[in-house]
Amino acid sequence: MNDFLFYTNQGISHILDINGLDHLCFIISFSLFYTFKDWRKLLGVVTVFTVGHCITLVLSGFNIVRINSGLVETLIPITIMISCLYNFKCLFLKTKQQQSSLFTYGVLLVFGLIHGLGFSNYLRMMLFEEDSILVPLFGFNVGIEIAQLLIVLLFLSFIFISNKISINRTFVLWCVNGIVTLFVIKLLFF
Amino acid sequence: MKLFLKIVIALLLVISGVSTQAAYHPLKMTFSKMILTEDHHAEITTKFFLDDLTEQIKNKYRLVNVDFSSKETNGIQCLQRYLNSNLYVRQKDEKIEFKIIETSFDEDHKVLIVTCKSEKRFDEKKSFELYNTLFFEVFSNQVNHLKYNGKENRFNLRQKKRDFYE
Repeated sequence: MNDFLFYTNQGISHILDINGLDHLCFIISFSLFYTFKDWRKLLGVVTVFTVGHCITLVLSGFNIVRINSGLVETLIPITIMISCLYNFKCLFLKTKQQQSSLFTYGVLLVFGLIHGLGFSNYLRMMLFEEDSILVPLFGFNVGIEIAQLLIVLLFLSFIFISNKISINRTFVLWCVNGIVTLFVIKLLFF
Repeated sequence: MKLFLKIVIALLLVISGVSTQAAYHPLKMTFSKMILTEDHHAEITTKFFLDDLTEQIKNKYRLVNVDFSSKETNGIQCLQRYLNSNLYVRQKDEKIEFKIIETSFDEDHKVLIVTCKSEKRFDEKKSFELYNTLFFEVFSNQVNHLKYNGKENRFNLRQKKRDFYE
């Protein structure tokens, strides 16, 4: 298996691994209020998040930016918690989430920067000193994007199907957000 | 919105204060690189997550404190014994163990990098079997990655899945 495919596979595995669900939970939390009809807005949101984590993944990969990995691993669940709390606020107050506001994009960009630092810790673990960073970085990024889009697609499909079989959409959103929140609490405290 | 932000910030401060940051890395894996040296020995460099390794060595060898700072410390000596059983090569029906020659930490002191060299000469022209069962007895989801002598030879080593009746 050549290097690019290997690292693409690692990128996909890193997001989809059942034992490392933090990034998956974040993607679900920020996709919560979107449907297939909002695909353009969701694409914009995913792109902003992607740009954010690409920036720090590249900067960290080339050792331009280094943040303590312990701090990063604490910040990642915190970003998910913020997203979940905002979702609860929208659900509780029955307000429509500001799907494409500049503020949303700004927050997701910042969260993307944080998640990118988390990805870079993992990527750095895979590389040895003399290994070139370019192909692994690119391959890993591509893998992450593929996995993210897959998760978004699966989640939107799940929401679509649950609507079709007449399960109350708000109930489903409360449940999903609740499960993600519980998972984050487990990550933070246990 | 402002009230919401204040609540969020307050919660975050509380969370940051009491968070035990349990899951540094829920993914269980090691990364190894195996090369052949000029003196016909095999050299393996392996990266371990330090917390997993410390826990495993502590439990297995009943140590109170584990120190990996140099080759003479209890941690490295126990690790050598652990590697003798879990990381070796078989060639011509002979077991070739690896001796630790160098250790170092990454910048964050979260990863231990161990370099070990085969105790016997290694014939690169003959077939061999590499055994890498690091942490398999501890984590069912452990994956050990190995890159052998260049970019084209990569292996992901996992435990054999067990059936219920085994």
